[in-house]
Amino acid sequence: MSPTYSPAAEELLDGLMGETETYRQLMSLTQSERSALQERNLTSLAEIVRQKEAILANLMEGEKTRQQLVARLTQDIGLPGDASLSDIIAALDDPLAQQLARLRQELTDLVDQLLSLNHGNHLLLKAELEQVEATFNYLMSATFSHDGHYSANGEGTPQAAPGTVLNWEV
Amino acid sequence: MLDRIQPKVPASYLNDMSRLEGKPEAARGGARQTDNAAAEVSLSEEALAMQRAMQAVKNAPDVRTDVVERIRNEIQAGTYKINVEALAGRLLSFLK
Repeated sequence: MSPTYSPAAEELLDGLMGETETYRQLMSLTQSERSALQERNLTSLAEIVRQKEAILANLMEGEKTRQQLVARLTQDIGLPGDASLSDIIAALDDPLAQQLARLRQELTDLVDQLLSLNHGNHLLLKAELEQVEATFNYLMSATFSHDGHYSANGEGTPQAAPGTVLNWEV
Repeated sequence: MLDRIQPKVPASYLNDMSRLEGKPEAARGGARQTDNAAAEVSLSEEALAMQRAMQAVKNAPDVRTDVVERIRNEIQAGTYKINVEALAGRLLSFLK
């Protein structure tokens, strides 16, 4: 296949550069998430998760835009619609092909690292929640194992059931 | 005058009280100890359980139950991990 050019290729390069930047932000947040998990700061963790969700929504939008762009580009340069970036690079002229190849490598490394970090965080979070739950259960059993009624003499003075207040025996 | 109404407490008694100050109920039982042994053992166990609970509260992280609940739901639903993995997976498949 002879190298060719499409304006959509420039747009794809810009789009992927934008995605790379957003993935860097996601990576940074995922690293903060790891710190929050290690510090057992669930309040900070919740804020990080909220920010991650916003970035993920942003990335999903970026993905839609990229898919439309790739559809246009592959049509321009005569490739099948499901062509990979490697296929596209092979069909493009330098320096655009080289720029895309560099970006492809950078993005691949970044996403690999992100997946690994995210997987570790997921395991840490599961362990943390199990511990929190166990602590709650312990506290609940230690605190509420009695009837909860207290008198001047301390805990344990039974409270009359409704309707039995006057049914006392001498 | 005041002494007649509230006689001075013997020094030996005060010493005994100061020694027992802050000790569990069981240690202050004296003569009652024999009669109420079972109840006091039970009370000590409860005090110990409460002490352990308080220690657990001290050691527990700063937790907001609504936050914990939300994250736990996300983990159970699989969205916490899958969102990132699905998105990254689709990108990696394009980058091949």
